[in-house]
Amino acid sequence: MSWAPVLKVKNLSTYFYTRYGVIKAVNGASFTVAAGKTLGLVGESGCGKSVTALSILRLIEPPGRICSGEVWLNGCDLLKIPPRQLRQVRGREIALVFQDPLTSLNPVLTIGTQLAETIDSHEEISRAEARRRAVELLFRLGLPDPERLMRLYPFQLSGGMRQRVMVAMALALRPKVLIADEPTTALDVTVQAQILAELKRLQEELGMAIVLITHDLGVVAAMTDEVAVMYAGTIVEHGPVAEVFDRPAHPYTRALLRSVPRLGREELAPVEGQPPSLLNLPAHCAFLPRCLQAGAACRGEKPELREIGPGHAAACHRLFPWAG
Amino acid sequence: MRVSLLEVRDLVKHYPGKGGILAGRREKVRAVDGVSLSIARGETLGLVGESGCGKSTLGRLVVRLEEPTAGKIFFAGQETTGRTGRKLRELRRRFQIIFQDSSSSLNPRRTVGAIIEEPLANFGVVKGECRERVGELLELVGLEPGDASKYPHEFSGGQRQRINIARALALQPELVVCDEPVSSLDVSIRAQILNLLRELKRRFNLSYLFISHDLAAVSYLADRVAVMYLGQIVEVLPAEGLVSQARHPYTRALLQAVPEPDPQQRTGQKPVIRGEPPDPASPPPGCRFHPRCPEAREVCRQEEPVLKKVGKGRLVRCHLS
Repeated sequence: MSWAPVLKVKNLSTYFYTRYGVIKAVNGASFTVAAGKTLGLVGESGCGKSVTALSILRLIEPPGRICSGEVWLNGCDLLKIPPRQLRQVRGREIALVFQDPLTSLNPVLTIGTQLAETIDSHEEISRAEARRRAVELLFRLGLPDPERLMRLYPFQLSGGMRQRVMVAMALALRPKVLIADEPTTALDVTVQAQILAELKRLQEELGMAIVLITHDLGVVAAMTDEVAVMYAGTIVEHGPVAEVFDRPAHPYTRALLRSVPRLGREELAPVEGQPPSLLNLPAHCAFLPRCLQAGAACRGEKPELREIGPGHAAACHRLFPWAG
Repeated sequence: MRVSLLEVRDLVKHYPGKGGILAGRREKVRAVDGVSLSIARGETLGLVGESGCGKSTLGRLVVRLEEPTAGKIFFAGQETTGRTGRKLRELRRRFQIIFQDSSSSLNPRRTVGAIIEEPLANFGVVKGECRERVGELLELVGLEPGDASKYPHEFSGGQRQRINIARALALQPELVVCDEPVSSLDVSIRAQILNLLRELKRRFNLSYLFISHDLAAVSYLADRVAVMYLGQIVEVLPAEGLVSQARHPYTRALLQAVPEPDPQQRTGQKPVIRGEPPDPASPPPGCRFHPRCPEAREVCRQEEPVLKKVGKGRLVRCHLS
């Protein structure tokens, strides 16, 4: 059974026009997120995960530009709507949590001011009412003594508390989709476990969909329903999480899974070589130079994402020998 | 009796805390608060704990980048604490350190060759010989001898960490302190570096003090694991028994918090410990872990537990075991 997608990204391409050339950070990425479900977007640094997140909210600044693609949310294409309407969508329909809460919070405003501002800039309520809702939000995120917290500045909080505040801020307007870009990467495992558990609880409460961007396959396995694996700006595999972990189809996914050290497991097979330079991506499959299964067809056109099972798709010529 | 390569006894490092002149009495930050451990030749000791537990400070103390407040360090039977100048230098070539941030630990204005040559030149290797040795070292860590003429920025993070490893190995040390060497690297590159470290250890019979917050990486490389909490060792155990034999509630909580990359094993369990480690300037009375411990009892609030032997090569600091 498939779930109705709440967010649909189609053929998204975002390039950066630098003096060294065009960096194809996102290069034709497509994926969907089901309502109330969690999609894990995984890949190594520089594969385009974060740029994808920023592109969805149209937060790309020059020299970057969203060159093509569609981002469908609630029946409208976010890449086409006028800026006024976009402001309504951001925060209220779709919100973003970044990895580094210290740089995303304003250092000279108290937590309370920042949270209340987020709420009352979108809703017709008094400042007092906004503050009351802010306190409630902090409380729901498991932060102790929220009243006192409202009067503190970001530097007075620990990393874990700051990240909780960021999550509270993103959830303030009950968005339908939350994009969390490496929300727990900078934190200790013990704090990570707490924040992930709280995210999960709030997801059930609010019924929102989450796009969880991470390079940690453990977090993906623990948190997500579906997973999209990204390599060199494109999605190379997409499917239900259990399916992708048990029967990874793309050689990159397989290699990635083998390269993670696990507790109590002995062998470790790294992916040899380096990811390609995004400045001059080859016309063929970008993983070819590191691929152990490559064949003649792989030197041809870049493979497209194709269905290989129910809800499971991969972009690899070797999976479809008859097609090419 | 076998002499261990590194022996640390009751090591203490206190830093002056917040406050300053106007605040009156300053609280000391007890970064390392009475740590004893030993590493045998060819052995890897993994050191794990949350950020701020003092694991990096301990690593820096071991290679004498920091002066301990109290305690003793012995390297190959010789005391390094209290040594200065030439006497320290003689020993220093025998222990090296690799840092987490592979780029800030390399001088951006010097070539890779010059960077790796420096320790060699410092310890009197002749110029001509140096060049040859640099080439060998680069090959040893999986780079090309020709890379010597390049600058650090021309390399990726993983390759830069290889350069750091080459520099650390230049003087053929016996002990290498690895302070989160793979934490800032990507998954696929991380595995490459872990395998490289493992291979080098086998080849040169190196000893590592492998500091990391990544329990899986530690269990992959280490022979024994020491768990640190608020400046103290709370448990020491063989790496192969890490999952099955961990006794300290903190070790178990750490292990439980690591998400396994396997969707089938999704437990849905609530995190066992809540909150964050307390301020090391004012550790809680009794057992330092008791405010977060799910099994804490009255005795844990009153008395500080000692690190006691519970089996062969296993130590635990907990009243309940």
